[in-house]
Amino acid sequence: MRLVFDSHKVEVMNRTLLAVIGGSAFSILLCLCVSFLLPIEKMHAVAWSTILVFIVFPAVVMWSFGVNNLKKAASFLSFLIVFLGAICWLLLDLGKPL
Amino acid sequence: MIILLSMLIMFHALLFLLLAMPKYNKQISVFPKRDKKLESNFRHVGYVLLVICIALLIVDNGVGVGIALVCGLLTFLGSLVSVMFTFNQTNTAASLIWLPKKIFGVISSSSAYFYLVGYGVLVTSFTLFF
Amino acid sequence: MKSAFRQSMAWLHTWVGLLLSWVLFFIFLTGTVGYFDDELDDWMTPQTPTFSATADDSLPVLEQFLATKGADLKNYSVSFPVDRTQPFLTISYRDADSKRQRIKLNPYTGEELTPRATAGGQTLYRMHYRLRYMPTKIAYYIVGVATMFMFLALITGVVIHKKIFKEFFTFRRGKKPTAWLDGHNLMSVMSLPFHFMITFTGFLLLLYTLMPLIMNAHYGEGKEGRDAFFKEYFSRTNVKASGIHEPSLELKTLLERADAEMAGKPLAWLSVANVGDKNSIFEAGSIHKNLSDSRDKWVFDANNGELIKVQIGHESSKSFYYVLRSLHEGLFASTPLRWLYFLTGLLGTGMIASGMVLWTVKRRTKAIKSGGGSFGYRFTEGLNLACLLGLPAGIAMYLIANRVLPLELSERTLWEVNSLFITFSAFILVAVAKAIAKKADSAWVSLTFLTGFLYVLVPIVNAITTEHNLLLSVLNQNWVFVGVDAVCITVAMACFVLGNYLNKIFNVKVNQQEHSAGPDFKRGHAS
Repeated sequence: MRLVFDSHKVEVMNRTLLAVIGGSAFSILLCLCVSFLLPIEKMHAVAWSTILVFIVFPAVVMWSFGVNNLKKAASFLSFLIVFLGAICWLLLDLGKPL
Repeated sequence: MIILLSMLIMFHALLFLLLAMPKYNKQISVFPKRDKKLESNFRHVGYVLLVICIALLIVDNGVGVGIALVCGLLTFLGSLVSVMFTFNQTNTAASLIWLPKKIFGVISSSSAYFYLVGYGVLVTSFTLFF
Repeated sequence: MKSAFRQSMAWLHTWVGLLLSWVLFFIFLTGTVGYFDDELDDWMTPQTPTFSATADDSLPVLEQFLATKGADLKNYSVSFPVDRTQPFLTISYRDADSKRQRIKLNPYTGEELTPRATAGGQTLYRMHYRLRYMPTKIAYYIVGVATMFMFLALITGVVIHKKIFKEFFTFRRGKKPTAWLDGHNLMSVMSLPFHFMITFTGFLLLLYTLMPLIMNAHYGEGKEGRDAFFKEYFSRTNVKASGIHEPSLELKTLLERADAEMAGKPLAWLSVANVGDKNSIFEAGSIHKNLSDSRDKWVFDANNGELIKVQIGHESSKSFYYVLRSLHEGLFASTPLRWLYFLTGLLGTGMIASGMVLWTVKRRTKAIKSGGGSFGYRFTEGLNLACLLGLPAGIAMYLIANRVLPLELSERTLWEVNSLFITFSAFILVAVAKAIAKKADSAWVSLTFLTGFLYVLVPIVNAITTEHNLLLSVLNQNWVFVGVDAVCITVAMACFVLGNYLNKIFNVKVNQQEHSAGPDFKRGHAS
């Protein structure tokens, strides 16, 4: 990660945004999907997936500061978020009584 | 009682790990230098002793309380060993190597095995009698 | 050299650690002190003794109290003084106006106890997660963010040290900033298992406040969803009175039934619901001794003494949650283990403190060369100094205020806490002002000595205002008072030693600066 002095602050801000916003969105959506798919009692699925958020989120934060190409990383994460969002929407819809 | 024994084992285990590193053992005059086999020996014995005292604490106090004790004691004794070693290298190391030096005359792998056997006997007799 | 990834992790570690270090220092210190919250409660109510009595010992007093209350008492719960968390015989009930009442009795004489109004150790401990002077919800978010930052600092700290085992013991005394770095590393590495545990379990305690979305997605929006989830998860069910009259067994018989079922465990609390009704329920529980028994209880039908259900331990995620929660709160810990928790917490606080100092020490030579450093540097140093010394000084003032504030003062508890923060603010003002004026060194020395002085004052004020001075407490084996006095004296001595040491090294620096050649030649110091 070459930190050019001029764009250093911009780089930091971009990575922070990716980490916080992208990271939270990703970890929440991922764990939401997990909570639907875990084959255990609902209340335990909710508990375990909520705990999982606090493991996934730091990992994503570290990834967004450590990854080399920020643009590629951001687009990759955005794609994942959209994909997971679609799955969650589907699962939520399926869960609702018809 | 078992906690005191575990603390002693942990203290010596950490000292073994410390003296296994050339950065530190070169500060002890009586310690044979640049002996890779001896160092790896000390390292292995250090790890084994650590596992023994952790197992002892967990078995004696239950998993949860045992884990809490391990976390606390590791912090406390680790800090103690480091600070003691900084202030007085010779005497701190002596708490480990004085006995085997008296018995064997020289520090070698036998010192490590001595402790391993010694603590093994102590732990087994403790668990049998208590 | 280090790989790019490790370099970036080092950068992240420094910033994530520094930005919230002051909040984390506050959280860590109040939490560490909080392990002795009940003992501090005891110290802060010196005229009210604590008791130790089993359920059987207290039964006559309890029965007499219930008799005086008569038939009004339909639901009540009692906790017996068998544990450090329960120093009196406490009875909670709803009075004729349906208001919650709690009364503390001497378990042997039945006399009502009125401890002085004090914020106690409890408030100090609660500030650990509720902070102060802000709504609870906001405090939870701040503490949650701080916890996440600390978690990130821990993980990046491990990633940075490829040679983590070699660095286990590194402590090079004397040479700064290497000594500060080594001290920081030492305290951090040795306490890593503890810190991972404390930080992660801390998250779990705030879990559903910080991350309610998944719970709401499954159980419904807002408060109803939250209530529905908690009702199912934590199985809070209240049995309502049926209205059909049926006599309940006597308390003595119920206690015997409980003793029989609890297999020798001491009865710590009981609660009776719907007395004299068909649906009357009697619940009893024991002392919290290991990680998974915090919610254990035995539930009986109070009409015939039959055991309805036994709740011991939990399943699946609840077990995980309660075990980790117990690890964090340490309520199960015996006294020696509690001291170990306290010492480890102090070391953790020291780790955060050393990190804060390391940041400024590392930049000190550059700052001195550039004539005092940038404003950011000076402000950070001032804030560091204020926090590291101001909070401990505030705690000493908190204890002194408890002794000195008049008993009849209304809002006494609020003023005890205010005195902590008034002292803290005073330190902040002085420290930041002096640091910005480039006089940080003298502020370090004088404020350290001041903090030491305040801590010496605590046992002195204690001896003047109560009869529990150190000598008498040792003679009476009143270990709580001995402990608090001893810790205060130890902290004071540490402050004086530190003050002397800082004085020496700063004076040496001043002398070196004076001896340096020429007014234009600003020599950096070989720190």
